[in-house]
Amino acid sequence: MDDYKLLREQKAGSKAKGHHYMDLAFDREWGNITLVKTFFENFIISKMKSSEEVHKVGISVSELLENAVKYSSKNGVRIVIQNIKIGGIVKIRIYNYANEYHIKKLKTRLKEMRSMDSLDFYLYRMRESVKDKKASPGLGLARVYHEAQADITAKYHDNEKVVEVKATINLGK
Amino acid sequence: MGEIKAKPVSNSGIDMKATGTTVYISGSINHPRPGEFMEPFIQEAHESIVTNNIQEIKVDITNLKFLNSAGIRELVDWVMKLNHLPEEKKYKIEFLCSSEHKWQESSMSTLIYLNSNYLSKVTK
Repeated sequence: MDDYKLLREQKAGSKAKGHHYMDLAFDREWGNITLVKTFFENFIISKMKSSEEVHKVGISVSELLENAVKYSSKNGVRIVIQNIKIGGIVKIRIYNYANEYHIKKLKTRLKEMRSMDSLDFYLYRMRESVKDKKASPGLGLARVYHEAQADITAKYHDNEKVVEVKATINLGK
Repeated sequence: MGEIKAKPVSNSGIDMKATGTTVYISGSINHPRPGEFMEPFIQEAHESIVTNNIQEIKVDITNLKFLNSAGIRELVDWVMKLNHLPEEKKYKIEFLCSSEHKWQESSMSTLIYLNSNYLSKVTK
């Protein structure tokens, strides 16, 4: 069976006129994170003028992909970037296979995130990250929330077999 | 004045070394478990600073292009080691950052909040 089949079946927005749209699926390998991040950064550099905009998209791609690769319950990660345009509202969607434990953890993290502003949440996660060094740091979402000023949401598809994390970044801010 | 003694590290695209009272961290950290090589270096540097009663150090990250969140945790862990010292043993850390690497502005500014009496940041 195609590892990416269920990930590809999820609706991921569409390309708007005058905006760039990219949709990529790849194997769940750590080394692919930097390759994909660099690919998107180089693409975005060619379309945008500000290094701040490139950074916001790059850091979001990198941290969200790290989470997807770390927590995916089986092979396959899909990333879709929509509305790539100077000053636009970029939407980054990451899809991966999920298990019950990680969905529960993600829901908890997002609930915590919504109860604080981005700086407080990043500081809170920094302090939490060193309490158990054997556990994953759990800093990625906080970093995207604060550094990219992203609005982060999650959806769960196909009886929670697939998780979709969406970061919406207003590059005009 | 004492100097920081810590065995240099060169691993997975990152270099860490200490010269005088400055620690240099350079490269790009994307490793899934950077603590495996960052933590021993930081621990050794921290112990050396405390043993030699060094009051103030610099951490030069101007050539650190990227640090993933697992790497950020190692810096947080260093700050926590500092925070747990008795007041007379605490030392100041000045992070030397580069405006070229955008992650440094927001992440390092946030890190400073963990102990604003002893941590500071200068951006070149």
